[in-house]
Amino acid sequence: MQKLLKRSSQVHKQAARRQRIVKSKNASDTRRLQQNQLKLHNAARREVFVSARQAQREDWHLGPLAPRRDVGDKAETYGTVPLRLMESVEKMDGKWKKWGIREGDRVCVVGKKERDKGKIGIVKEVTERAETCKVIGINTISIATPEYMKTASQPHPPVQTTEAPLPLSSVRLVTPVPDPSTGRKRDVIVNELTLERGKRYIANYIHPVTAKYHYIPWPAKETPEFQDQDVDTLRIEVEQETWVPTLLRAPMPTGVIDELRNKYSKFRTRHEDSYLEMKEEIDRKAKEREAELKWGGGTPRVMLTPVQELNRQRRMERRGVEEENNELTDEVLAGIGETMARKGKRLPLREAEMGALDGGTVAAKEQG
Amino acid sequence: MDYFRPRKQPEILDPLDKDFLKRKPPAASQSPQQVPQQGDLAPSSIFEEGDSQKKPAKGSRPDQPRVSPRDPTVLAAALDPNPEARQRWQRNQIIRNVRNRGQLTKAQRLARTERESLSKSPFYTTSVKKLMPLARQIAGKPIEEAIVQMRFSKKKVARDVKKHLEFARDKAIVERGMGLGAATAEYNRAAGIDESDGAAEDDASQGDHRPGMVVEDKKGKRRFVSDTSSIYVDEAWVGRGSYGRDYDHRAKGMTYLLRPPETSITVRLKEEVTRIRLMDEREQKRQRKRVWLPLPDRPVTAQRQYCLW
Repeated sequence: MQKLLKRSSQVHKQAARRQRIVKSKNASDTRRLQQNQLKLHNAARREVFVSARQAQREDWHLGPLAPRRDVGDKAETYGTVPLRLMESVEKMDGKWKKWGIREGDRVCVVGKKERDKGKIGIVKEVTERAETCKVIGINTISIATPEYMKTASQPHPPVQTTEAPLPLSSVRLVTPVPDPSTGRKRDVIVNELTLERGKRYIANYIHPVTAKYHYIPWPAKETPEFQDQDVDTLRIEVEQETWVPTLLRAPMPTGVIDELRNKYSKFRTRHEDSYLEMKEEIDRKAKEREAELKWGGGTPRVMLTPVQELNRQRRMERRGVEEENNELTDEVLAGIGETMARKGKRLPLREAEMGALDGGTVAAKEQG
Repeated sequence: MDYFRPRKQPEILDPLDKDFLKRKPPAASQSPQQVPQQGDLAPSSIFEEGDSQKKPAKGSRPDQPRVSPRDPTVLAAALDPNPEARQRWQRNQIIRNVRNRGQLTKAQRLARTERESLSKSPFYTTSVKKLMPLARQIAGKPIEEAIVQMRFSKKKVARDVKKHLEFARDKAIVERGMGLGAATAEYNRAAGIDESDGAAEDDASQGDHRPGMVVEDKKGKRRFVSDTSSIYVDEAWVGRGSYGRDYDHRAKGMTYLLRPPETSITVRLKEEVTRIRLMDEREQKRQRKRVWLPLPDRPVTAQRQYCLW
């Protein structure tokens, strides 16, 4: 039985350990992947910056002789940025911040390095895992249509314009708040939002009128309009209770559990009663047998050789003699006592004597 | 850069063949991927819809410009991604200009008046040792002459160099407007534009067009130049790339490792105007040079009949 428990717990421990190793390895892989993506993204960004700077400086130095750059293989794709800049790099470690900005919110671009700083737009898309958002008509870029798309049956324009993602740290929510002096609502840029129980309000701001936190409602989600069709299942049919489970009957055929959960799994901790009884029986028998084998626990069932028997007999005799010899005679004890008294050692008192001496000791203590 | 991708060459190049200079039709493999044609119902099919919903005829596309006009604010994402830095740099340039009282250095002035174009080729599988003579051969020659030289050269890599020279020439014409002096002059003459007008001067791209003259290069070679804006190879140099890896399979299962080199060629193209200016400068320098006098030029004071030494 102990063996059974030990095996199961050991297997559980091993599995947990294996899982831990895999998890840490996956975490490092994820980190590396994210770093690579970030590196590529930054490289694409740098390429745009560097090439633009070189072109600007060359144009300045050459003045009227500045070259045309929208020629050759760039005739159609002039002024486009790499495709990679259209996507944002997701944080894979799950440590992304909640910014409280959702699709449909009005936001203002405040990032120092953003091109469209100061513009207000409506959020088109929020990528929480990357902490970025796309705002309609803001931070627009041109992307050269990749070759593989050009071969599709639908003709694509050589250049497509789209919104590039903005970091959520570069935008701030714009919401109407009543002006305390006039009482009329006017738009303010919310520097910091506080999120609490699925609601959001302006951090560190008490509403002048209501003297409470100013909660900002979430943008209304567009609910898709569905039209009933003849083939649709009615709600009343769906919600009808057609089967009530009872205690008299098993909810599923027996054996399904065994199929779902491996009956002979090495991880199992639940066992059938008969199996446990069998194991306990084995244990009990083993214990009995062990007890029987011990000396002094009764007649051993094992057969002994004549020499063993002789030895055993002698041993028993010797033990009996020793036990007898252990008993010290009164004479011997008296001799020991005398010797100890002579050498100034106190004798251990017997119980009867201790009782007799009790009063005297107390008296001596009192005197002392 | 698909311009340089070496194409398959015919086995034998016969320049005497009358079809040699003719433009070859583009190979089938060069054409863009064929878009599969969409199928259609038979005209007699009962599923054919009415004429009102008929699709436009095959091959006809709706009238739309191939490239729609681009929004400058969108272009700025690629062309001016960091406006603050650009403004800062330009401000410094203006400050420097004001400090110099609007005077340009000679290099600055030349950069704004004389055109040049730099083209670097892709790497060819050849060595510096083999490419260097070709670079020396074409340096200093008019571009067309350099192309002719490469066309008739018996060096293998000369074909690639010729292709690169043609690309460099086309690039210089299209990007930098080089070699267009004669054409512009002709256009102006036909359009009745006076070249001495300010309008023509503004259009500095077309350079100054002078009648033909003999131009002497720095090595003393004299050439007749009919169009002063024609292009020549000012410089040509080679650059070593990395080494590739190839195997030389020998007898008895031996393999030797080959390291084939990669080399590129870079050409700097300029217009003959530059060479004329350099010639003039050399001449002026020559003029400025003091005449060497074998004896000091001073009055003779002590005249004697006999030498005193």
